[in-house]
Amino acid sequence: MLNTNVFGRLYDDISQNRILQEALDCLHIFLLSITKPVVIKSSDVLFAELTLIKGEAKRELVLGLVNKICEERVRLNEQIIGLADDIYPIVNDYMDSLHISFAATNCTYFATCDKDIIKNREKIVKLLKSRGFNLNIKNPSEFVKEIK
Amino acid sequence: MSEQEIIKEGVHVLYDELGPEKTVKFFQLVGVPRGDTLKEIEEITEKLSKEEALKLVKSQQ
Repeated sequence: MLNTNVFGRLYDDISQNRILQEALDCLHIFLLSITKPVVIKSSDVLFAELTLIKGEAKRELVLGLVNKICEERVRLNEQIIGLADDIYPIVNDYMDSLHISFAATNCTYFATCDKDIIKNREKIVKLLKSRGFNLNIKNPSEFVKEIK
Repeated sequence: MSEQEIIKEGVHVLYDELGPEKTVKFFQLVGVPRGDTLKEIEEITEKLSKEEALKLVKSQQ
């Protein structure tokens, strides 16, 4: 599962070197999904966050990318909410905790450009393991290196 | 046809005709990309309570 910011990176301001490098890594992930070693799932929280993207054209572009790349949409359920409640004290953003929970209950990997999530991933992964879930949390660059 | 409908139809046509990779390149070339999606979303979501976040997610089901 990919965080919303991974889908948005291709349409961000790539005049900044950090964003350009992340955009290239994100494009690599999408190409891997087209050639099939990677199956990307969407979720209700992804579609909710897409509505928060500024600018109609950009929002439509990111939505178009999601619809082309993702093969399955994961729906919200009580298990996901319960796990998000447990993750929230670590990330302090309920949408982030929901996204991680969606990923943990349905996927092997969660890729994100969010440095706060990356910074706290050891704590998150440890908590998820204690609840019986094994999730790898990677930034786009790490994810590409591990998968290709 | 509204502006939103024109943008939506245009994006779909490009994805269908060019595929995702060329569509991305096309929009980079014509200068659509701007901002930082991560910051745009985070500025809003970090202020949401659990109830507000769940309401937003359920509105997209």
